[in-house]
Amino acid sequence: MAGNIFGVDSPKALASELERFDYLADEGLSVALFLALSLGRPILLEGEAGVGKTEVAKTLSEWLGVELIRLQCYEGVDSSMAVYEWDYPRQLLHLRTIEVIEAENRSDLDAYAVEGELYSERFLIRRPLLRAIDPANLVETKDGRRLPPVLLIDEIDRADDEFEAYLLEVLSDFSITVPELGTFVAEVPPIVIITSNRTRDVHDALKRRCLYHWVEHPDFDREVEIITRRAPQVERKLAGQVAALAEQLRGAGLYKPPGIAEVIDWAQSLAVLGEIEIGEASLRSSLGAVLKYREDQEKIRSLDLTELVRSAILRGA
Amino acid sequence: MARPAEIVAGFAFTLRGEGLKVPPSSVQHFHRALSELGWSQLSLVYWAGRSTLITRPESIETYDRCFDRFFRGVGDMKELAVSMPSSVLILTDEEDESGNEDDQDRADELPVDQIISLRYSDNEVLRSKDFSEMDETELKMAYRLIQLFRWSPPLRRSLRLVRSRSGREIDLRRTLRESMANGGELSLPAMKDRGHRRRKVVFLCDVSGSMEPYAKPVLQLAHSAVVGTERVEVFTMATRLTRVTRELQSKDPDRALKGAAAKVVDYSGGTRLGELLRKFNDLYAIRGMGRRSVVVISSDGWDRGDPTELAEEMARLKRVAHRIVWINPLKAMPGYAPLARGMAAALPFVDNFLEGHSVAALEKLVEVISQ
Repeated sequence: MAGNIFGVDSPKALASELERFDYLADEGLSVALFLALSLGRPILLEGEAGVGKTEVAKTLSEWLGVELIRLQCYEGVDSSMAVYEWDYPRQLLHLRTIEVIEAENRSDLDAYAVEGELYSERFLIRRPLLRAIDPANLVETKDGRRLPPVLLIDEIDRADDEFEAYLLEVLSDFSITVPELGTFVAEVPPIVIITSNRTRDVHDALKRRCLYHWVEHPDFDREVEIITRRAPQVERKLAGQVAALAEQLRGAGLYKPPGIAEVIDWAQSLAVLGEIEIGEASLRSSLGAVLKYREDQEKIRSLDLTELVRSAILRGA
Repeated sequence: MARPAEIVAGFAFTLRGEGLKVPPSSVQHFHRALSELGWSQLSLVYWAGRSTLITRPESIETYDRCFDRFFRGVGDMKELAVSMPSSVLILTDEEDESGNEDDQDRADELPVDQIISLRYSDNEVLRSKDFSEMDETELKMAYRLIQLFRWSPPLRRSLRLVRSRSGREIDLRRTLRESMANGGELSLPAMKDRGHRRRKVVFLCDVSGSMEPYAKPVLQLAHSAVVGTERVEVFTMATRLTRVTRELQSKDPDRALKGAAAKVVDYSGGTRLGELLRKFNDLYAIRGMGRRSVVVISSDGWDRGDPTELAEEMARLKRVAHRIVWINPLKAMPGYAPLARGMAAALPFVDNFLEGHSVAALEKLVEVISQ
């Protein structure tokens, strides 16, 4: 198998590296991530809210010891927020200063020189995309490898189509041109993680450029493991029961099935309340930590809670 | 034994045979992915394909089926023999499969054109005639009229800032640029303000048996919207909820409708409106598609499901949508009252309740949407 600059030679090796940072990736995700690293391709992660899409990027950057550069997309995000912007107040101030100096020295102002000064890197504000390809952000390891930062483009489906087209351009050759300065080219392409909640379909052209992975909710064993790692104060027994309940809640046809982050919160709040085991009363009172819709809470409360708790205790054991 | 490239191409061929769109670049990625991962482990091959060959969760089922068929029983990859036509090109462009079947239609269309231009007064009659009473020729003429509709969904304020004379924020970038033109002399600041965007329009078309005569005209209308304006989504409802936006994107209305019809497997059969609306809310509307949009529901309100569920889902939709428009062809009947349980349950949440049984009624709908 071919190696890569990240020092892992198989999806398994990558998964165990990520596990050291308490991120448990299943086989599908670790293969997709491994390929993203080896082939130097962006990866598009889709899935229900709260399955840990964003967390992947955080963990990758922690593992590699590189910067996590995050671009949160929203409607109206444009190149001045995503790529670069000039520092206008400082430019104006600079102009004024030159004027004053010129008035005192009675020398003539060279318009070209002034303009050149104004549009120099000194006044350039680098936004996430530019920072991601800037060679200054490469991290050199002890053995001389140069690692790129992780670029997280979060919730791409919230941005406008026009922005997507621009992004496509940047992602295809990892270079950005600033007309007044020149072209920035990435020496090592950044690790690009794009997430989407699927409120609209991402364009096929962008998808073609990316690897794709649909992130599922974790299975029972993995979820228990995740809870105990992320919330160490939670007893193993309680973690098992919470995971069992989460599994049931997801199958109950709720408006918003609980994501992994909510389940961790839930386990944590039970632990804070001093619970070491789930009971009918504690389930009833803590439901707000995991279900965020009134209708969902009502639906679960109307079920046979005794039975729910009993089967969770059985499954969690 | 087949060479890796042949296996890769053969598998892509299988996927395409099942109707998945697999562009050549994806096949290349798959090939490269396998040269990274090797062929020894079937599960790695599976995941390599999953992350390179498909791009949406809806395709996973088909992918699994194809994978199973193509690789099942293969103990050792080396033994895999690929049987496929040796002339298969990976670089096929499967954009259209246009045959000559439309020629017949085209010949039929010619006189229709003449009828429209020669007998103008007929148009007026046609416009208000109920779709269910039209014959084939009249329907064709009606569709033609529908295609001519002009769409302009209402505008809403967007968050994107654009140049504006009376704007509220100073556009420093432009101010500075303009001042450079005067040798750095600052004049009046340029301003910017929030721009406008068209609202999304989402169609939910009931295509179940009872809606039969009206479903096709409404889909025609939806098609003219998809082609005529941006940000339109179309779903059909019968026993299932089916997203047909993509199929309707073809400029040729016949081809578009054919594509959509091919995707909708359940043209007749009852509707469970509440259940389908819930699905729409869960998978699309609440996540964003329904937010601040105009949602058009076309149905006669004959719901075989639970009306309380329908009411609940309508309430959810109402909380995120800008406006809900319901068109019900039965409303045009004299003495109609919304007695169907589903219709009665849904009505309190509807902003505009329209007829939609004729060309004129659909025209009115377009007008209402544009308000």
